[in-house]
Amino acid sequence: MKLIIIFFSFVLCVQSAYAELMIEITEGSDSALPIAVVPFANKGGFAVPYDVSRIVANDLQRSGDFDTLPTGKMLSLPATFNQVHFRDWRMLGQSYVLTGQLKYSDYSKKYEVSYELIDVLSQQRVLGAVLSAGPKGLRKLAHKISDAVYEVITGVRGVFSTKIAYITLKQLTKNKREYKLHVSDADGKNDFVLFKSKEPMLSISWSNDGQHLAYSSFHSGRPAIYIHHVKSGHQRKVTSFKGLNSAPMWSPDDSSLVMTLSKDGNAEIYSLDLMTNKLNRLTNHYGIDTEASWSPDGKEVVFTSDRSGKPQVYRMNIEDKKPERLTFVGNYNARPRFSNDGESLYYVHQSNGGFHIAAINMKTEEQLVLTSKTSLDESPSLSPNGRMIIYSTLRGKNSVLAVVSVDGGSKYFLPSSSGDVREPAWSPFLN
Amino acid sequence: MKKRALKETKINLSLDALKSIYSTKDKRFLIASLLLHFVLFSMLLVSWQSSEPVKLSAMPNSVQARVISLDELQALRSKREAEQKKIVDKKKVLAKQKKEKLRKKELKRKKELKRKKDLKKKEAVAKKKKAAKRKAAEQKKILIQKKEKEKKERLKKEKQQKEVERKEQERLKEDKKKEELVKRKAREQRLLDKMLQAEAEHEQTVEAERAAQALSRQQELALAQELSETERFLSLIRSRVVNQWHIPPKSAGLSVVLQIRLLPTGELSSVRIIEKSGVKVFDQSAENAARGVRKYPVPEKRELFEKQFRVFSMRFAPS
Repeated sequence: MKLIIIFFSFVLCVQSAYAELMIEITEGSDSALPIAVVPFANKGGFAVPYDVSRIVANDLQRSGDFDTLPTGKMLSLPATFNQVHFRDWRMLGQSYVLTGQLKYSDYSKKYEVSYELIDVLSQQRVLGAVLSAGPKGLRKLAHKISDAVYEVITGVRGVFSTKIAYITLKQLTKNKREYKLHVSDADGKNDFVLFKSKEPMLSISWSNDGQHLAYSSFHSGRPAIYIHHVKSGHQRKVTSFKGLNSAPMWSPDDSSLVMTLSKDGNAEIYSLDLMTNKLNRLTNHYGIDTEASWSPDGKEVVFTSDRSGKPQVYRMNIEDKKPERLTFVGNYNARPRFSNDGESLYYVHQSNGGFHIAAINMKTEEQLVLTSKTSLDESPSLSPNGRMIIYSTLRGKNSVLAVVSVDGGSKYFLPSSSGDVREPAWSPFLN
Repeated sequence: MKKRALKETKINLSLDALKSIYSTKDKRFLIASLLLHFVLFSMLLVSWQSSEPVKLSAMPNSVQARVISLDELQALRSKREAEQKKIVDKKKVLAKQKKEKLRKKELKRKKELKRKKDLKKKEAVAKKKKAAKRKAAEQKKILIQKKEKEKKERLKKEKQQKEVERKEQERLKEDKKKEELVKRKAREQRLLDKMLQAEAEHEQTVEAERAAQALSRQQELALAQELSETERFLSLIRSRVVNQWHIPPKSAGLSVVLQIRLLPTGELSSVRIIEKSGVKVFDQSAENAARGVRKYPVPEKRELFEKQFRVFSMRFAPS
């Protein structure tokens, strides 16, 4: 009898399990995640040089992954978890609320900023911390909060505390120009001039420790490659061979630079060991080979070559030195850069009469044009978290810097202080 | 007679000697000869005066002779012998030369004869060859003519044969056509029969189906309604959840399964992760999507709600 009961129970269990409905969700929302960054409460009413919560809101908004709620639409301005009315925020369709408050310590001459990230749907605090900084460090502190919020929600490290380097060109007189090498925060603010010259500078590359910049400059009268220490401003000439000395790019371990030299008669790719100063010629073809970039594992380089008649992107293992053509769509594909996982490649692609930033998946060979609305897009540089690409583009008469997400979903322009802005390079993570 | 001969001989000898002397280009011989004669005459004169008178016997008047000494005679003889020998040698040389000349002439003649003979022979051979060639050409011409004649005859025969074959084929074609016409008519008839039969069968089937449908319509309608109702609410729920799901970056290949419990009003009673993806952010995003739906669309029919929507699962796996 017992056996019969157990058998029927088992059958019923199986039937009920079998009968339970399963809904498959394979797509997500196209819209960005709604988040409310509540203006941080100023306890004591001290003067604050920067609006920390505004900087955080702008950072998150610019990432393209978040949609921040305008302050005017907020029903309340909570400063702590306890002050949050979840029903209100839920009504406003917000998934997360960031609250915070700051106070100034006369003793330490520093601002103390506390913040909390609250999950509206689960009604839980998912992040909270207290940070402090002097008046000048408040911008950096705000970017730090943005990084933490971004990482806890998306699982990807934020890049708001990183830097960008770029070159500006100013026409002083009819025959006089001024080139400046700038370094600024990732949002384009807080910039300073690292070096200026009357002669052109181009092809900036950050070392992976974030301490050096390599670039090509004509300021000594002929093209040469320099390494510049960002903090000390110390500049060192690395190569100055006869002919071209251009497009330097650091290897993943910073031990060598890959570059374009024409010392042997034709533009070829070489790698220079920075310890031994030993050159290793990587390409040998009558076509022009240039704009090389390392793969994340440092075993391969991608570069531009016109060996097929038109500029196309090639990949080459540095051991066997056998180039393999990667791009076949369009007459112009150049300046390739690997994605962080090495699975995709970003480059400049010519189509419909304009130059755009495009991506190609190396496995599926699918190509996606990321910046179809701008033209004359140049010099793509990937953010260290692999989510955004900074590039220069023509806007009006001048070129400006723009950022696009790697899926082409969102895009924004960086403010330009003056003149033409070009050759951007995104730094690695700096801490 | 004999004397005269001797005299002549003497004269001849003197003449010959003189001749030989004068013929000699070298004057030394002339001087030597004159000296020799002078000595000889001196000796003769001396001997004439001192010797006994010689009694001359009657000698024929015809002989004029001169007495010479034995040495002189001997010398003359030696000289004459030498001259004769010289003459003989010369004659011998001349004879030899003549003989050689004759031999050469004979040889030349023989050669000429041989050349003429060879020429004749060659001419004969050439003539023979020419004749043979002409004969061969004539034979070839005859052969070609013969072949052409044969070819013409063969072509004529082939043409005749082809004409016969063509006529035969036309006849066969005609026969085949007639046969096919008969066959086609038969096939068409068969198809027509089949079509009529199929049509009749189809009619029967349709009739049967119609009858069957009429019998189970109510039952099926109820089932279909239930299925379509379930599908409709599933689609509505899926759409609401999709709108709430913000897929985190780098989520390709991840999957999480949630168990959802609803109230009959459609409000979320509870959400529970029953299969984790291993990535906290991803699981959280799915949970938030499930929680983000303020009110789930559910059927009003309690029975269907209890059966399908009270508890169900959702798998979040980005494609």
